[in-house]
Amino acid sequence: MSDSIKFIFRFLLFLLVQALVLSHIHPLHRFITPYVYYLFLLWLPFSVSRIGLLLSGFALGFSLDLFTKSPGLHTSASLMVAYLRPFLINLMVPKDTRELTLGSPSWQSMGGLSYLLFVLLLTLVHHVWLVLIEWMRFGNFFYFTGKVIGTTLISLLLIMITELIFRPFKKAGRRSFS
Amino acid sequence: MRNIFLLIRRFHVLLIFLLLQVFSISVLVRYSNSHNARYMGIAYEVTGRINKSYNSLTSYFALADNNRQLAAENTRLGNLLAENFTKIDTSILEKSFEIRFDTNAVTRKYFWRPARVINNSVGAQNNFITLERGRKQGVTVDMAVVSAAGIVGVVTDVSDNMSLVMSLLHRKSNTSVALKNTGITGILEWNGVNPERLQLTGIPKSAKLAKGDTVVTSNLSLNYPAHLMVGTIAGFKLDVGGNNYKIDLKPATNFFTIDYVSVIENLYLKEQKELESKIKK
Repeated sequence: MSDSIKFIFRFLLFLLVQALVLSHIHPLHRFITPYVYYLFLLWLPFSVSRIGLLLSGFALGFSLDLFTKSPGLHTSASLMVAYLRPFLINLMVPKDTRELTLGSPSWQSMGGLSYLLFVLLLTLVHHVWLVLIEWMRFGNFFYFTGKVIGTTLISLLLIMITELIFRPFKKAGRRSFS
Repeated sequence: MRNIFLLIRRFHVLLIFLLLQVFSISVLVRYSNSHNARYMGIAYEVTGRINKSYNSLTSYFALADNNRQLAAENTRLGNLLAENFTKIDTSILEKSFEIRFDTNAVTRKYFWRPARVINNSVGAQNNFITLERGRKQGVTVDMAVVSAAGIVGVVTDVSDNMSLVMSLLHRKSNTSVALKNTGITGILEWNGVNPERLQLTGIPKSAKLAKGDTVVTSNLSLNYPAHLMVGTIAGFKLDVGGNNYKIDLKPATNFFTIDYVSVIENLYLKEQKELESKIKK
């Protein structure tokens, strides 16, 4: 399967799972809507240009907005993720190894701890921005923080499960958290 | 000039980012200010189709609850059938034969149409419901939507075959309601926190309240017929320094399992709006 078909398929999968399943989860509704769809952006290969990232972020967010009937909301948040991703990769992946690895961000290519931090920071950015522009104002501070932290934790949990299902550890090396 | 081009070349990623970001936020602001925005119409036709096929699967999970509600509604409507009523002979009381109007003539003010919910949200700050019934099937903006249990919301946007309903769980939702036992009217809103509690304001301190009191739609509402079930009072306290109660209302509609609804058209709405628009001039 060629790469572009793989990415289109993955795009649709993340979009539909987010729009049809995760956005409708009821027991957590009051505080938390779990988000996983932006993992598509995180999994794009290192070699994708920054413009390409921005455009795919825009497309992803906009198509999700068509489902959730909030035009611009998720678009803005996923653009934020797409824009900040290259900076984090520059910070976290040493230059010499980055040129060797042609793959995409993962436990193997970045190392466990770096990858965890990478996902955590982008998740946090996504949720802070999303909650902020959804309210258009800061609101109650504790409610805001609680909502962001709760959503982030649930999303992280789901992302880890997705990782384990779709990208289990294949290589024996570089498994340690260091 | 050359410097400007150099600058653009240097920061072109940032510029594209800002451009897209400004676009999305302006769309968001424009859309949340005017829900009648037309430009999402085509999009609903596409996502609506996907939602419809998905909903045909998920509707099975709420089947038992919906059946119970439909049965209850059937009983209630059965009680309203004309066969249940009988006319007593009033001819002996007739005093005048010069009645100018046919006092028995009844004209229809509200028309009900059934509709199916194909998408629904409760988790966001501004929740919408999509119905599979649109302009071609007679739905227009500002029609009221009720479920078997209670009121649901107001149509804000219509495409050819679908319509979009601003549910009561929307921060800009604003409904005129009344206490059933005393008829005192207030405004029903939602603060965006808990989808099982709505906020009722504007009930003066002088009103006598009790937990569990029924709240119905008022006769002042433009969209809803009067005396439709809204919910029951779940708790209330005095507004400190104010003259009113702060009341928490438990909506009668279960927004989590909502499936079949009715869309109600007020046939006098246009006339009333035209007449009332003359006040402001």
